[in-house]
Amino acid sequence: MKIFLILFLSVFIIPIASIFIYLLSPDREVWRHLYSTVLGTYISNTIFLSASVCFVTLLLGVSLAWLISYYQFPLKKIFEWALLLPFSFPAYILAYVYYSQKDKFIDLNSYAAAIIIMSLAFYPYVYLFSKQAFSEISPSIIYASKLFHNSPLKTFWKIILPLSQPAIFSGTLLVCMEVMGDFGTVDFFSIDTLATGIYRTWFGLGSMNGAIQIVFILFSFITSAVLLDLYFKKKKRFYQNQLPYKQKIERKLTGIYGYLASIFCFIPITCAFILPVFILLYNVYQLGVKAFDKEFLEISVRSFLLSLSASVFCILLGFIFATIKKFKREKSIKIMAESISLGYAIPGSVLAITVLYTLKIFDDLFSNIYFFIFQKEYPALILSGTIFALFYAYSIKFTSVSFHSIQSSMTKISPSLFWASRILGYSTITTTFKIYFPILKNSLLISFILIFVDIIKELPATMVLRPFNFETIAIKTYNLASDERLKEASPVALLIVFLGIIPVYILSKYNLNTKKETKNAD
Amino acid sequence: MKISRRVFRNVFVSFLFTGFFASIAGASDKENVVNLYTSRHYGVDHELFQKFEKETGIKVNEIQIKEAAQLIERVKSEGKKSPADVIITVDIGNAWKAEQAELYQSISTPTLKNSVPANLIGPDQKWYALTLRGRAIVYDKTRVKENEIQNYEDLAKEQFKGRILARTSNHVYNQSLVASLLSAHGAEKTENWTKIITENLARKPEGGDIDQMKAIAQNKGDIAIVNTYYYARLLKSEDPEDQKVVKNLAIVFPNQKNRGMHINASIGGITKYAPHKENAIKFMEFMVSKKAQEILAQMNNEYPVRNDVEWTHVLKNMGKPKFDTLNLSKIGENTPKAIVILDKVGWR
Repeated sequence: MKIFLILFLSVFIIPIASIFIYLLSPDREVWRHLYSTVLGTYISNTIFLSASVCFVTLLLGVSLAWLISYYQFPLKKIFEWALLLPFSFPAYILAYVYYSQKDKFIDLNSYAAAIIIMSLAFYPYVYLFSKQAFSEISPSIIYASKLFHNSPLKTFWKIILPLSQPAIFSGTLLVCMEVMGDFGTVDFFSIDTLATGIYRTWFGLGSMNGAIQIVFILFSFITSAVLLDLYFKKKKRFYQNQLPYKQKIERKLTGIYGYLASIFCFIPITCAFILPVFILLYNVYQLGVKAFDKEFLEISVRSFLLSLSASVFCILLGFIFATIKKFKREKSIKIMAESISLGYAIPGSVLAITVLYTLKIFDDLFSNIYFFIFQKEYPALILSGTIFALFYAYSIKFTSVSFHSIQSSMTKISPSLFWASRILGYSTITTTFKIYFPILKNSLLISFILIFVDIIKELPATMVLRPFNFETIAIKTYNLASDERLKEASPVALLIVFLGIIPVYILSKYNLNTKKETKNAD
Repeated sequence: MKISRRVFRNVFVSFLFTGFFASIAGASDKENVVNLYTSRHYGVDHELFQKFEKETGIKVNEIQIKEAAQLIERVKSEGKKSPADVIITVDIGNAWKAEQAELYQSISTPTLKNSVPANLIGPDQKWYALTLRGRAIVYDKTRVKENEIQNYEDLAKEQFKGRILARTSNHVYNQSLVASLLSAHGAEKTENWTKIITENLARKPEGGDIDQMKAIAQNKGDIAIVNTYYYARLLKSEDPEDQKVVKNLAIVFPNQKNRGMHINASIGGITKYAPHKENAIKFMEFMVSKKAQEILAQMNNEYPVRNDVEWTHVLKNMGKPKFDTLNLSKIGENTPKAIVILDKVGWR
């Protein structure tokens, strides 16, 4: 069993671990050059940018989630899910859209512009994770706080925030990784970060080893953040014996306060969604019907199916990884499971290359087995250049998302539930499916949205690993936009946004359903 | 609900299986196809491929990977069993990299030889240029005198301080330009030039080439370094906003009295282990045929490589430039050195 587990985990760890091989032969000359010229700028820009964006998204995301979770105000029901809409906007498209209308706004310096654009694109991570965490806090705790005459603000600071800290931190961690990994936006605003440095060192200086050395600086940042995350989770382990129930404890905001809350929610939605969609729609209107052809339809169906199936796959893996980590005692296996988190930190372009070479190993293995049985060479590659290559790359990159989200919900489930089931004679697997799966439904759904939208937007790995004649909407948009044809890119960009709305809609509908159920139960 | 679930499952499963079997079916090399790995991402290419298929019955399978370094890694990792027949890169530097990685095989046919001028063919006939575009200079006619700029070197003049616009040097077009200057002048002079240009910039680089021309129209600078086909696209555009941008602009083809304007080329070559070599040759011959070259010029405003192709109206109106073709394959070799310089002088 143990060997089987290690083999299973290895399949997903190899491409991550293989990056370390490049460190064995460092490119000293390139390193010296980078060190003496641009490396300092890369690092300081990366830290500055990610810290600023994390700060803004944290402020925005948590306060929005707090308002939505604990207050009632006009149009709240709509805001609750509409606040997630900006998810579907890739940051670089937001940058292109706003840049094309630059003359209509005040002239910002490029750092400020990049921070605003990225915060708008990424705040939903924090919002979603915080909202989810708030909903899992048992209302009885909040009632208890009320009994002590604590003000709502004090309850928030002293009880809600500490209880949801692990989840909020996980959301912010994702934002941090997104900012550090982003190439499109920072390149457009010509801010030199480690991500642009990787491109420049690899494609310009022609030094892959040098580029991977930069990846390791990124790694060390993210690893320290992940370790911090673990530390928080270890320190703050609360179990809520009572399962969260959906009885809402919302205060009604009346008069001007209600409207202020609505306006506060409306601003990010307008800036990150309504306005850019309007600009894109206007472009599409100018293009006319010729924007929608057969190819357009084909690409949209393909992208949709790809993201759907791959995200389900990643969630399943995330669940398996989280379960392994929770139930296996062996430290080595725990560490292996945890290291899938690093996948998200590897820039897609670099990940694609390590996946290429890992697939080559599997292909050679297959080819040798084939030769062994049939005594002749198998004429082609079996895994490289197929949809499986894409699935494989996505699973390495995005399993981290579901892993973290599921894990942070799992930490709140008391172990006694598990033991109760075991004492009643159910196996670990049955317990997992009967007890954990239903409780984790919400986390699973949230991971689904995150990963689905991420895969719809994913660019570098898809581009490098895809099969023949396999265009996705992200690639199509990027190609047109990078050829400075923003207008022509508008229909496809809109489609990315539109497809991203679907899972958001599903989530909101699911939430409504559970509300109805609880109402009936009452 | 149950039915929709079943339908969903069926679609999902069939989607997976199609992918799997398509990959296995794609393995058979008896099919009448040519497999193309390309860095180009223009709509016009697809139209050309369809035309090629109609004429020859050979289907073009395409994988487009924008960054040549990644494209090269993919072909390298696939090794002897790679399905790739033809590689098309943008920019000469990238063809040089593919050549260094030993991905090409030598191909020489009378048609190819007669169509492409000798200075646009790689060493040992390993690659052939398919289209060209120049790195030109545009300026505002009202603010810059007609003969003030004639060479790239002139941009380093004192009087242009704070007036030049350029995109970031992360872009291969700027890297190659500096690499071409390295060939012409050597390291010291080039570094000096790059340093002064960086000081002469009107703003920190941002946006693409068209954004630089828009910035001139908004009076943020007077001179911009741009690719010819972006300028041609604006000239041709019917969008009134584009016309407003281009109204006061004029173009200079630099270094006409000496080495000529720096060019980027799209370059095609046949891979070492091409499983459909015959088809690949037909494909390459088609790409340099008169018809294909005309379409490329017409739709993408690129310069044809053939001398006997009539230029489009817009290209003709811009004037006939002399191209810098002396050190075509030197540029790839020089690009890393160019970046070292760019990093040093701080051209972002």
